[in-house]
Amino acid sequence: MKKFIAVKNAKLRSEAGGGAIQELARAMLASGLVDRVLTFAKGLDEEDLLPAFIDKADDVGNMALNAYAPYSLSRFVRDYGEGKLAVIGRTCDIRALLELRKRNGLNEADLLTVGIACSETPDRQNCLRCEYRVPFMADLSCVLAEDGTLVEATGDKGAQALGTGSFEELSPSKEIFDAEAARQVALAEQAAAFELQHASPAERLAYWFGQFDKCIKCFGCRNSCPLCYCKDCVLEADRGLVRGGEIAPARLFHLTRLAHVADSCLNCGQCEAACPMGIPISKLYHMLNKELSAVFGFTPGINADLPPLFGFDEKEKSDDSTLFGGR
Amino acid sequence: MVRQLLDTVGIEPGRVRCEWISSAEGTKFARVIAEFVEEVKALGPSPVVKTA
Repeated sequence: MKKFIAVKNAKLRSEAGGGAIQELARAMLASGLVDRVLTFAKGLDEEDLLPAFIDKADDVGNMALNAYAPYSLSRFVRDYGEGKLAVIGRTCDIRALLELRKRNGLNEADLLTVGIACSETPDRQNCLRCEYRVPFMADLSCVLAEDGTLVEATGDKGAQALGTGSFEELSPSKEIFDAEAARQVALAEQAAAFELQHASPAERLAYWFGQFDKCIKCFGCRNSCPLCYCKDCVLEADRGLVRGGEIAPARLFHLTRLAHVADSCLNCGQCEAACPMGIPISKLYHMLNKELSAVFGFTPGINADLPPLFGFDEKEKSDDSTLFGGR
Repeated sequence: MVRQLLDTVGIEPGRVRCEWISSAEGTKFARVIAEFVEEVKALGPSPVVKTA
């Protein structure tokens, strides 16, 4: 059931989406439904965002919802996510949490997710390619509009959280729904139009190895990845072709990382944002992930399905494109 | 998946092969290895190794 709501409190009303998200965070904290809220907060100016745990209901005014920040909230949940926690984030943050959950990286019972759709596309390659802007996998899926917020509770948990707040239910004009729908269609078309493959294998090889050779092995891609959850990382080990501690790394360094996360890459672009050498690494991950999605029928972060390498499908024995690869 | 990975960056997927061979199948093992060595030789040196 979709609702179009805004907050009654005049002070918060001027915030994006009619202040509904701020009121939701305030109410969840005040009612004790959650102990902390993890979200983005205002830094020095409009463009400066910081990830923040908010634990006092009075502090919700610091929340910042409508700008982009190159952090993945799921990493903070993994490292500091104790107690009853609500996460208010972008769709890629919520999808990352879902994937971490499958890998036993999180305590599911104590986590409540509030996703906010990306209405505007940040000028980033991975965002332009993004096919999942509406967080339908979150407990509460929200779209910020001019004077109010479209909210949909996807289950009892979301409905309970929404029930703690004091909202004014607006009668949404048809234009708001239509405008939002049209925008989503336009963004989806833009994502679909993205050309993934380069021409010949030789050109691909020259391109990617040229990119890999720029690497200074800072581990920024690994450290910023919402899905890298191993405590002992294979990339630091001394393994024949990829020597531990060697700078610059062998070309297989990147292929090793690719093999580790490709089946679950969300195209969140954190690796690319972190890379000091400007390697378009999320493009490579996203390309491979799309190929693998076509083969295995698995899309990470949208439902509870397990990644392909978690199990064995009888069909794979006879499918040449997976195990025995066209031989 | 590994083959798909290699193909994406432009390395010949034929450099990887997966076969199930029982410990009782000595002849098959020898045949598969000999075949595969020939295949990889035909592909030439690996593009992964940096040449100075």
